[in-house]
Amino acid sequence: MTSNITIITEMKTRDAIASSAFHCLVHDLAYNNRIVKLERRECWRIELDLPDLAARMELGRRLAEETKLFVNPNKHLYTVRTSPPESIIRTGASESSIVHVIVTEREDSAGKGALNQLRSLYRIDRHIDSISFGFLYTLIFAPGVADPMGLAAEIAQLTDRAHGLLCNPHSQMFEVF
Amino acid sequence: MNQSDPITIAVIQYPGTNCEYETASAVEAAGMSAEIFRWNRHPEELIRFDGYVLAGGFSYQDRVRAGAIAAKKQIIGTLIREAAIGKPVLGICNGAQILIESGLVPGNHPGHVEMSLASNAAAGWRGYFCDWVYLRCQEKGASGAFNLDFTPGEIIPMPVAHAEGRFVSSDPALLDRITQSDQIAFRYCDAEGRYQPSFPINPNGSFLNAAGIYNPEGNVLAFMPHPERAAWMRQIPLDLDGSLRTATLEHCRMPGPGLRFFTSMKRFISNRRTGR
Repeated sequence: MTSNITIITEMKTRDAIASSAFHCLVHDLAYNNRIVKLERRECWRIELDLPDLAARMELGRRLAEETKLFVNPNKHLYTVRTSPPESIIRTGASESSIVHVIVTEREDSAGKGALNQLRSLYRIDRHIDSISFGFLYTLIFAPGVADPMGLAAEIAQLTDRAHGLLCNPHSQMFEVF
Repeated sequence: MNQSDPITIAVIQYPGTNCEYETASAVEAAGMSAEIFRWNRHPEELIRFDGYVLAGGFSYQDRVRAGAIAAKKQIIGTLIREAAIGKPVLGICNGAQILIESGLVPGNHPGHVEMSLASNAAAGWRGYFCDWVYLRCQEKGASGAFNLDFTPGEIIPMPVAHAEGRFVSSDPALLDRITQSDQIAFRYCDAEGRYQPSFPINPNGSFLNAAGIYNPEGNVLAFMPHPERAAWMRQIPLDLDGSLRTATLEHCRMPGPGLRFFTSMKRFISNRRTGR
């Protein structure tokens, strides 16, 4: 039986990538009246052959703390989740104005590389079927903004120089939730 | 504009660009005048230049995606307008990534982003790669501004240094069109000119071993290797396989293959001025 965990990391300090993306949306793409904040996290989704919930959480903790593949304790905070990471925002914004966008590579070098390293370097191969990596962007829109999900998709999907930023669909995929 | 007026080239400098000075040096060695142009100057100041080079490096630290944020800046809007009237634009490495992210290349549907320079994923290699490779020029002869001074099918050594250099598109028909319209200016090959898809001949897994792609008009080139680092023969390692193995000291003082990208650019601009 396959189940999964997600290791989510975020910067302890201000995230420069999130700052640049937000600045670009506000100043270069004219979303200044609609978006008020952008946060970014890194997601490692790990498919496991481990039905027991406590055992999955313990393996997640070990992967995060005992390997150097997912978390750098000098700069990252991390959480291990057994469900998709929808409810991780700490802001006071109303729920309806918060939209998450996860961006993954069509050819996931980071996920495959992490799995190879776990097996070859750390000799950890029991229970782990696959690993995938993605950037999780959290877009917080101004209250009352119309169709936040649609707006998030528009911001995500690069179509031309004036539209889209987070995902180049020729090499990446995205999901809005 | 008189034929005798000096040719001036703007070498665009973003925060994070790190090849602008050697690029300007190569432009000047080719007999043109170079000016390093900061990204936040007024974009209309670009209009007085005869051509443009987006130099290599890490604009905006490759944040979000290589070239993604730089492509949104006003200066690129001006470059798009100037390219549309036929001025030459060369994007080297990160400059190529900016051209792809801005939709200038391949430019089959102007204004639309039709490709990506994705993470290296060659068979046997993933991630950053920095080494010398061989390139083969278009076999049908030059179709654009930056390979006029190469002979058809010529094989040249050139350094690459990138982690995201794999030309890809989700539209298979686009790749066919690019191929049929001869927009692939240079392709990775071995020292004998054979196209092999595997690493390290193809260092990034790019489709059809593409190293540089023109827009349909041939005045804009997105080129992943670094011609400014091969502008003189002394920059080229003597232990490379092929004809350069027998290089002499005198040979090392001669211009290298990279300089011919810039002499081609000069010739293209001169031809434009005389209406040829």
